[in-house]
Amino acid sequence: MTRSMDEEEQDMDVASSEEEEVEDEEEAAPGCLTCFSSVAAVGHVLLAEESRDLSTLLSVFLDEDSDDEKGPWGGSRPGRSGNIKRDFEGTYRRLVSFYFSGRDSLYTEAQFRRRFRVSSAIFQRVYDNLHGKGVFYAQRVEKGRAFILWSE
Amino acid sequence: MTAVFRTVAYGTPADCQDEVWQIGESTCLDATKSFCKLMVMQFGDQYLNRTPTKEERDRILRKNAARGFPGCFASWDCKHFVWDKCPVALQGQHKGHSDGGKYTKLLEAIADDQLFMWFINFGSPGSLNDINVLDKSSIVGSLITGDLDLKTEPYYINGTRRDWMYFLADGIYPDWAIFVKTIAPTCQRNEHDKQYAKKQEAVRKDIERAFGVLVKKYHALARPIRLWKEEDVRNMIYACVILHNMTVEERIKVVGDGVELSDEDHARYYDETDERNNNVNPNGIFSRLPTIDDTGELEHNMAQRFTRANNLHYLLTDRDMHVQLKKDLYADIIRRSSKNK
Repeated sequence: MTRSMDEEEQDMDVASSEEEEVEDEEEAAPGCLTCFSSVAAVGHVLLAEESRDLSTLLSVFLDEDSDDEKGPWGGSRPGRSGNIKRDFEGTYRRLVSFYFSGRDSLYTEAQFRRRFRVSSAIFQRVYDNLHGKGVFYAQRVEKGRAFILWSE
Repeated sequence: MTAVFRTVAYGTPADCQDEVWQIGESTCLDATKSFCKLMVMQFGDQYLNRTPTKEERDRILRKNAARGFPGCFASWDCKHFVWDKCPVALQGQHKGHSDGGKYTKLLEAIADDQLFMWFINFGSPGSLNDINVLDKSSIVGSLITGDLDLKTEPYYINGTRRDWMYFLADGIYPDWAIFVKTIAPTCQRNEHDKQYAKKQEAVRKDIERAFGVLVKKYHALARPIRLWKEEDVRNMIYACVILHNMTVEERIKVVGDGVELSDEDHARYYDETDERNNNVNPNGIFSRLPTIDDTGELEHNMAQRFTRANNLHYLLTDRDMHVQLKKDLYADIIRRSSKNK
C-alpha cells in the first residue's frame, strides 16, 4: 500500500501543479478533488467514510471514466446515433414497381437509360455479376436477427 | 445498387439517398466504394487495359483510314480531375497549374473514334505535366511488354510500307514513332500546313470527346471528388470508365460504326499490288525485331525477350520514323484534299 501511496503522490503533484505548492498529503487530497469537481461528491463520501486512501478513490474514478468511454466489447455507446428503422421493404417494392417490373414498370426504358446512364440490360448484367460478391450486395445476419439489405 | 448508380451518375451526396431510397449515408458510401472495387475486379480485364481483338482492330483502322489516317489506332491525352479531399500530406505533389491551383489527379487515356477508352492510367499527381506522366505511364509499359500490341497488317501511306499502329497526340508529346502531332499555328507556313493541322486536330478530338462524355455522364467526376483515399478515387474512376466502355460497346453493336472505307482508298492503303505503293521505302518496327523461339532454354529465352523489349522501346521512341510518318501523312492528306476539289 505504501508503494501505491507514493505513486499517488506523484500523480497528485502533476494534477495539482497549477496550485502553487503542495506541502503534505493532507492538504493535497482536497486540492486534487477540487480539480476533478465532477467526482467531488464521491470523494467526500469516501473521505468521510474512512481514510485518505486516494488509490481507492482514484481507481473508482478511473474505472467509471473508462466505463463511460467504451464497453468491454464495444457495442452501442452513448452519444452515437442509433440505427434508424428504415422502410427497406417498402422502398424495395416501390423501386421494383418503378423500374424493374418489365412492361408494368412506371418508367420507360428511355427514362431508365437517362437516369442510370446505362441500359437496363447492362444494369442487369452488372447486377448478376456483382450479386452476392461484396459485403453490401448480400443478405447478412446481424446479432441474431435477419437483416436484409436489398441489393437493388 | 440504384443508390450507387445515382451517386455516381448524378454526383449526389450520399446523404441525399437516405430520403429517396431509405439507405443510410454511411451505408451508401460503403456500397459505392464496394461497388467500384467489385466492378474493377469483375470487369477490369474485359473492359480495361487490354489488346483489341482482330475484329475490333480492323474496325478502328478502317474507320480511321476513311478519315485519312490509316494505321491510326487511337488518340492519346491526359485530363486533370480535381480531388476535393486531398490529404494535407499529399497536397504538395497534387497542386498543379490546372484548375486554378487546386489539388488534382491525372487520368491518361487512349480512346478510339467510338470513344471506347482502351487503356487508362490514373493516379499521377496533378503537379506533373503530360510528359512527366508519359515518362511513368503504365500505357507505355504495356506497349513494351506486349499487353498492348501495336503490330498490324502492313499498310501504305504515300508509298511507304509500315507495320505498326500509331496514336494522335497534341503538341506537348515527344517525337516518337508512335505519335503523330499537329503543326502549331505559329509554325504553319502555307495553306497545306493548315489543312493538315485541321485534319489531325479533327481526328485527335476523339479523346477530348471521350473525356467530355465521361465527365458529363458520371457527374461524380465532374465535381471535385469527395472521397478520401487514393484507392477509392482510383476505383471510382476505373468503375466509371468501365461503365462507359460497356455503353459504348452496346452502342456499337446496335448502331454500328457508320463510315465505310471506299474501295479506292482501301486499295491505296492496303493493297500491295496497287501501282501507287511502289514499296521503295519500307519502314517497319516489328519486322526489325528479332523473333523469339520458345523452344530453347529458359535463360536463353529470357535474354531473347529482354533484347526484344529493349529494341522495341528503342524503335517506338525513334525520331526519324516519327518525322517520316508525319511527312507521309502530310503528303497523303494534301493529295486527297486537292483531288476532292
